[in-house]
Amino acid sequence: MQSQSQSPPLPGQLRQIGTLFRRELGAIVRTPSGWIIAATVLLVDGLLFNAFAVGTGAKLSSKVVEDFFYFAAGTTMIASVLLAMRLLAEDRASGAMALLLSSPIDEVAIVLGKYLAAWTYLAGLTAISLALPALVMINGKVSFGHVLAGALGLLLLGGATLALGTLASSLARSQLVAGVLGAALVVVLLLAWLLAKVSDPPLKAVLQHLALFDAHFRPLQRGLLRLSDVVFFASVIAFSLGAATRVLGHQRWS
Amino acid sequence: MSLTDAPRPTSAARRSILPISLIALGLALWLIGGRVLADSDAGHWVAGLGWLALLASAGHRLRSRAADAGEASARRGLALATAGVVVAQSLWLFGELAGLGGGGDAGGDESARATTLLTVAWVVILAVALPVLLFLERAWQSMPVVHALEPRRMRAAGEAGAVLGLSLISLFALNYAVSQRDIERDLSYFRTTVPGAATTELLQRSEAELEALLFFAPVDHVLAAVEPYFVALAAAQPKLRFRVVDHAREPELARRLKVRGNGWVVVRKVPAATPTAEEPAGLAAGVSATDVAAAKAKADAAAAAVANPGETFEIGEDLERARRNLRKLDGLVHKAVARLAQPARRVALTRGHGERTREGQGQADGLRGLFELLERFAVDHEELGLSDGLGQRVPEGTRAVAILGARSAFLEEEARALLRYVEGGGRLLVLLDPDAQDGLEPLLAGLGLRRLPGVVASERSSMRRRFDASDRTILVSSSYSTHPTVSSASRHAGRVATVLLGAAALEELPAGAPGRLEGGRVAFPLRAPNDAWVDRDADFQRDQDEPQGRVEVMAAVSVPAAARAGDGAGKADGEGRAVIIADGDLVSDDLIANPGNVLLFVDSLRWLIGDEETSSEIESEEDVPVEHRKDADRLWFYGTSFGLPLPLLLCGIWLGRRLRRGRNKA
Repeated sequence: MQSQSQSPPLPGQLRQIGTLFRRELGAIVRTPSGWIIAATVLLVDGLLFNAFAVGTGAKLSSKVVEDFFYFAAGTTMIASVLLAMRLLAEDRASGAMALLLSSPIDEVAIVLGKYLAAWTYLAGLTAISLALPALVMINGKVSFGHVLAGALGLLLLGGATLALGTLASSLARSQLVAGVLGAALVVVLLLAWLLAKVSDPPLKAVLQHLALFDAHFRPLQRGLLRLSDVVFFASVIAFSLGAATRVLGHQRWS
Repeated sequence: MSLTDAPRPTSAARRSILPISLIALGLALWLIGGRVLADSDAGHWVAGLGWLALLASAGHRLRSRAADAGEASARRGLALATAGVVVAQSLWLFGELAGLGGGGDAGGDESARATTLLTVAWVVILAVALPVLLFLERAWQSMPVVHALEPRRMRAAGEAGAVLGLSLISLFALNYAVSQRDIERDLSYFRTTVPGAATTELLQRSEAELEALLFFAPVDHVLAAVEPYFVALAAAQPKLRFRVVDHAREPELARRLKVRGNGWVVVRKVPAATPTAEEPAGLAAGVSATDVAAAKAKADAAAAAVANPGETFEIGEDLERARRNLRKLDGLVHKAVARLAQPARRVALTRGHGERTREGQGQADGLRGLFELLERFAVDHEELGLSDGLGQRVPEGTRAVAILGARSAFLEEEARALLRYVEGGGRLLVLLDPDAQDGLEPLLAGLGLRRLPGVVASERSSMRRRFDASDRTILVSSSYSTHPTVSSASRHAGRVATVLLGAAALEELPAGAPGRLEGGRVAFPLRAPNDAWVDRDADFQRDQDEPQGRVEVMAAVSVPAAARAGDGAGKADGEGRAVIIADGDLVSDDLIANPGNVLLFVDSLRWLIGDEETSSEIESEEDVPVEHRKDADRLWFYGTSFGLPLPLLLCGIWLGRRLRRGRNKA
């Protein structure tokens, strides 16, 4: 493709990714909204942890940790969609996208730089929220492996949701539309298991495999680390970001 | 003429939306015919109409006259992509009409293979052709002026669509391959346990070969969790073999083994094979030798099952419910193997002196946990009281005697009989209560010990339970020596500690003290914490006459055996052994969940009985319940709910104010 043939060699592309990564991460953490989003997510995590994960009756500690990851998955996905909807759509609305696309910066660098910045922010949020399951160790018996598997699950689920949101953000002209489109994509993948129930083979198997949460996050939530789940999340991320790059490449022509 | 004055493309110059509309219509009809109306004949007709719509779209592309070579090339590309979609639908239609669409079970392997090939073919073609078509169409529609058509843009759009389609196929193929060769690691506490050293060692010493029958359906989630355990155990110890048995397929065997359904495990000695040398009579009647051999093998197995039912335990069929058993699977297997692989060991528990019982007087001082522990290690127990002859002597053949926290007095004759038993090579375990009038002083004196009056207390190394001064008598100690009775606890001293609920202090009598057995050696394997003292006046305060210092709460005594006629039947050729633990509650249900207490008790038992296997560890992943209530623990609730977000929120507010100040200055 033309844009690829004109793109600079790899170290240059990495430099571009690094520049955009710093700029985007700075845009998140240097504004109050980034901190307020983080505080809100952690507050909701904490309340859900106390109200439902720990609950009021006696519960096995591994069940508490499992329930924490269940609820944290919801907040992580919502935060991811909110973060992703502004990644490209905001630049397009403000006119900065035209500047970016007319610059020698490769669209791969644009998408990856922005995506990695949002994912790093999300990873920071996840890391802070892990203090909650770590507290269960005071009175319970929690394996580090279980917490790590759950944290990896949150990172992968958040990464996949973020990538779908980035694709939606690349397609939409406004942040609102990007948010709705991103949420719709995520909901379709969340409810794929329901669709699978009313489908026939071979579509049934495909839809079952596409169930983002039910088929691929639940094992990690329970502490079961499977290569197939990691590969699935990586595939969703790779495909979504690849598609977003192609969409941007198409827009460069317009 | 400026750019803004340039004429906008007229409607005639705009791209026709007919082809793309036909494509949308064709795909919609395909979906409706193939999915919504799949069960009726009309479905094929509707899908056929969709096929015609797609074909019409491709025809329209090719039939339209191109203005120049660039447009002709673009039209060809669009027609080619549409043709790809048509081919995909044609293959699907062919499969449906040829009866290959329903899974291909009816026609056997050939049909199944053809169905798979056809499905893969149309899915792959559609996955590539459709994105190419959509990308080309998008580019085509965005260049409405005929003479401004950019062939490179069209090519780039086509390539982008093809790359997306191919990457989608590649990712699906990768996911399929990984799911077929999946690698998984269970990192939770709910994981199925791995074979422990105790079970492996027990199998190694077993003279009999054992067989485990796993009653599960061939494809079962619980079996998937259970089987790796037995694979690992069979690999570590060839004396055990296992096989999966489906209850539905072998109901006779299940009935004889008293297995009610799937989800059970039977461990039994390997039945001796019945020779099958004689000629089966069925051959003459036209029955194959294989059938006869299979029937005979089943009959043999059934006969063996009657004679050898083995040890049975339930795991469960539902994974959620089975998890409780899965995480203590090694314990269950160990118990079963212990019962089959080694002779019964018997401990006599004294009675008639207010000893602790299985049920106990309250919920806390029962010994259910202890009896389960004894059962797990295949240690049988019997009662020993005055009516069993304890006033004269301990019966012959008694492997060990245990006094579990007596609260009323032993007769002096009974105490002396026990002392003679130890002197004769017997093994004795005594759990003492402080200040109990149990009449065991002559026995203790004979062993070279004295119980000090009062209860051991500590300010720093105690647990809070009642939240008053009496909590100082709930001691926590990990001051273990290197004696075999505390070897496991000592090895894990950094992680475990023994809890004592009101312990007495023990003291060694000087050599040659009246009544002390000659040659007796006393060791103190467990000591109270360093700041402990003996509280003589029961005020739980340390007074002037209650010095802190070394306080012993457990003793292990070895006495050279001097066989006496009729006094016990321990190991007259070896030594008599006694373990005195100065807390009657050490293994009560209240404390037995504490690993420090269990390890100490099990090691003491091992040292007394002289068996090594009880010292090895059983792999178990018992979880503990967590309970927090908002009303009971407000600090926890507010700390976890608001402790984390509050600093971030403050940071955000501070940053916002700083930015506002900066803007105002500017």
